[in-house]
Amino acid sequence: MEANPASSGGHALSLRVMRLTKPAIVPNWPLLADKKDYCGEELIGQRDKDITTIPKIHNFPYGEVLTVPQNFGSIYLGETFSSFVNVQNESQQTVRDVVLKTDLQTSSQRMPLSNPTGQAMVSKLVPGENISEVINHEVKELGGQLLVCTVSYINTSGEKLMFRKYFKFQVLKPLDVRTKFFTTQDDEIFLEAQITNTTPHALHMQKVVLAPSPLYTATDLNFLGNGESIFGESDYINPDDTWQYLYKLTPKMTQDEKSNVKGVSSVGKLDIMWLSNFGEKGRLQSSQLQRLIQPQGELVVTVQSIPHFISSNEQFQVVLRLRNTTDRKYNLHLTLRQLPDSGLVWVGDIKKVVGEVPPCSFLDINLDILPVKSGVWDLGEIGIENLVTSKRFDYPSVGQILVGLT
Amino acid sequence: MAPLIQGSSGINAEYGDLFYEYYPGEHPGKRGSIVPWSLRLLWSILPLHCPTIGGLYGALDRMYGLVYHLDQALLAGLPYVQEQRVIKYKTSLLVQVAGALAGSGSIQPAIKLLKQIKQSQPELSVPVSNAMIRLYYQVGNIYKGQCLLAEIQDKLTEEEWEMNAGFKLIALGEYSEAYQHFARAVNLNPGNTVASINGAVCLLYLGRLGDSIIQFEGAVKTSLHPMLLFNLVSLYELKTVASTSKKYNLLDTITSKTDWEAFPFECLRL
Repeated sequence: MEANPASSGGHALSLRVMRLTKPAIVPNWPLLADKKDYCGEELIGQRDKDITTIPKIHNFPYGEVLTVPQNFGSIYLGETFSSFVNVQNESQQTVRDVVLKTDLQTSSQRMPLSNPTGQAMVSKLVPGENISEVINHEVKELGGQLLVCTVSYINTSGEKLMFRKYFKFQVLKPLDVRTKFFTTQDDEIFLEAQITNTTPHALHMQKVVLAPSPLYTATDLNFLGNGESIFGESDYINPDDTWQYLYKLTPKMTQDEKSNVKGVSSVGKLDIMWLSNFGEKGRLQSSQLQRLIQPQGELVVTVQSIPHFISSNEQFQVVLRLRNTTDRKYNLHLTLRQLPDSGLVWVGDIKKVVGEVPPCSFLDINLDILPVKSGVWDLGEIGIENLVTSKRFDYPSVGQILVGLT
Repeated sequence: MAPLIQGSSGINAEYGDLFYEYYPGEHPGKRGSIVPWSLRLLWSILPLHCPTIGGLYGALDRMYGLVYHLDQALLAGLPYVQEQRVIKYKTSLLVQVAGALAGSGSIQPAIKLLKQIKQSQPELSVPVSNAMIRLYYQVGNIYKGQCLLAEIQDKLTEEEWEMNAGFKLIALGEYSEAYQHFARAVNLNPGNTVASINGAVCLLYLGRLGDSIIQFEGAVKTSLHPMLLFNLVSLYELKTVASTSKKYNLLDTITSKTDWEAFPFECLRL
C-alpha cells in the first residue's frame, strides 16, 4: 500500500496501489475465562460473540477471519506479483478520457503490465467515482524493480494532464540450489541437488523434477517403492532448511561415443514448483546443469560378466573387456596378481599374451577363478603391458564378488 | 495436608498459601488451587507476547509444565479431582500449545498435536479438523487440506461445508468461486459475519473494490470487531486519500454502540 498519500498532488485524480499477497488469517489470542472466575460469565459471553474464535476450541488463535494485505511484503523470484491499482476522482469536477497504464521496469527491460496501447479506460469519471484493475506478473528477474503507474486525463478546462507514480521493490531469491555429481566405478552417474529455503516462511515443495538433456535419461530416486515420498510426512521445507534430492542419470551414448566425449556435458535442468502462504505459487527452472567428463584413459578395463554369488570351491568365470580408446593398435600382455590372504585363486596362466586390440575397439577375455574362502573378495590386481610401446597399465581393483559357504 | 499439585511452575501457584486447604476457616472442605485455571492459561501464553520472558519456548515450557501437573492430578486419582474437568483443561491447554506452535512456524508439530487431540476427543473432530485444514492451506499443502476435507465432509453442516469450500478455492486462487461459496454461507445463515467478511475479501481480489467496501460496511452493522474495522479502514485508504472522514464515521459508530473504553481504536489508524 502506498505509504504517503497526503493529497493527490494538485491533481483531480489520486492513484493508490495495494500489493495483493494471499489473504492471511491473523492470530488472535482471546481472553479466556471459566464460569467460576470473577466476571467469568461476562467474559465467556464476550468470547462467544468474538467472530475470530472457533466454537469449542476457543484457545486456538487461528480462526476463520481473513484479512486483506497490510504491507508490501517480500517478493520472491518465480512468484507472481499481483497488485490492485485504484484511480479515484478526488475532485468536484468530472474528468474525461482517463488512461491508466502500468509498466514494470527491471534492470534489463521495461515491460507493460496493462494497457500497452494507452487506451482510455473510461470516457468520463464523475466526482467520487473510481477505476481500478488487478495486475499480475510472473517475476523472472532478481534485484530491484520499479512499478511505474501513469495516469492521464482531460480536465474540465480541456487540459490534458498526466502524473506518474513509482513503486520500488526488491525481488529476492527464494531458494538456494547446489548440485553435485557422483560417478561410480560402473560409470553410473548420480546427481544430488541440495535445495535450501531462503525465505522466512515454510515452502511446500510440489514438484522437483530433473528434465534431462537429450544426452541422458533420468530416474527420480526420491520416491519409495510404494510411491511415497522419501521425505515422508514432512512435505514442506522450513526456513533455512535444506532438502537433498537424488537422480540417476544414464547416458544415451554408446561406449564408443562416451570414450570420445571430453570436457563439459549438459545434463539437464531442475524444474522446481512450490506453494507457500495460502497457496501462493512459485516456480523456478535452473540453468542447464553441466557435468565435467573426466578423460577415460587409453585402456579401459571393465568387468562384463561376473556371477552375483558363488559358493566356495565352485570355479567360476569372469569376462573382462579391454577397451582401446586411442587411435593406435595395441598388442597386450596380461599379468594377474593374487592379493595376499585373498580368498580367490586364479586358475590357468597368470601371464599371457592376449592379442591385438584395434583402435577404438575392445577385446573380451575369459578368466577362471576358484574361490577358496567365503566372504567378499576383490578379484585381484591386473597388470597389462602394451607390447608395442612397452607402456604398463595397472588396475588394482576391477571388481568384487561375494563367496558363500559350500 | 500436601497440596494437590506438587512442584513449582513459576507462577508460584504451587505455594501452600495459594491452596484452599491453607484456609480451612474461610473455605471449609474446599481442596485444590485458588488460582483460577484461566489465569494459569493466560500466564502460560504471556511469553508469546513478551520475548523478554521467554518467547515461544518460554510459553511452551509453561504450557507443558501445566500439562504435567494435570497428568499428575489424573494419575493421583484423588476422590475430589473431577476427572472430566481435568481432561477438559488439558485439551484446552493442548489446543493452545498447537496454536503457539503454528504461530511460530512449526506447522508440522502443530498439526501432529491437533491430530492427537482429535483422536482423544472425538467430539472436537470437526472444529479441530477445520483448524488443521486451514493450517495446511497456510503452509501451501492444498492437497492434504482437500484430503482432510473429504474425510470430514459428511460431518459438516451445509454452512460449514460452504466455508471450507471457500477457503479451498482461495488457496487455489479461484476468488470468484470462493466468493460464491461464502455468499451461500451467508444465505444459509445471515448472521455469519465471518462469511460476509471473507466474501468481501474475495471481492477485492476480483478488482471490485466498491462492492467489497459495501459488503464490509454491511458486516459492521452486525459486528464492530477490530479485525473487521481494520480490513474496512485498509480499503478506505486504498480507495481515496480522503478516508479520514469515513474513519471518523466508524469512530462515531463505535462510541455510540459499544462499551468503548477498552476498545482498541488503533485499528482505525486515525
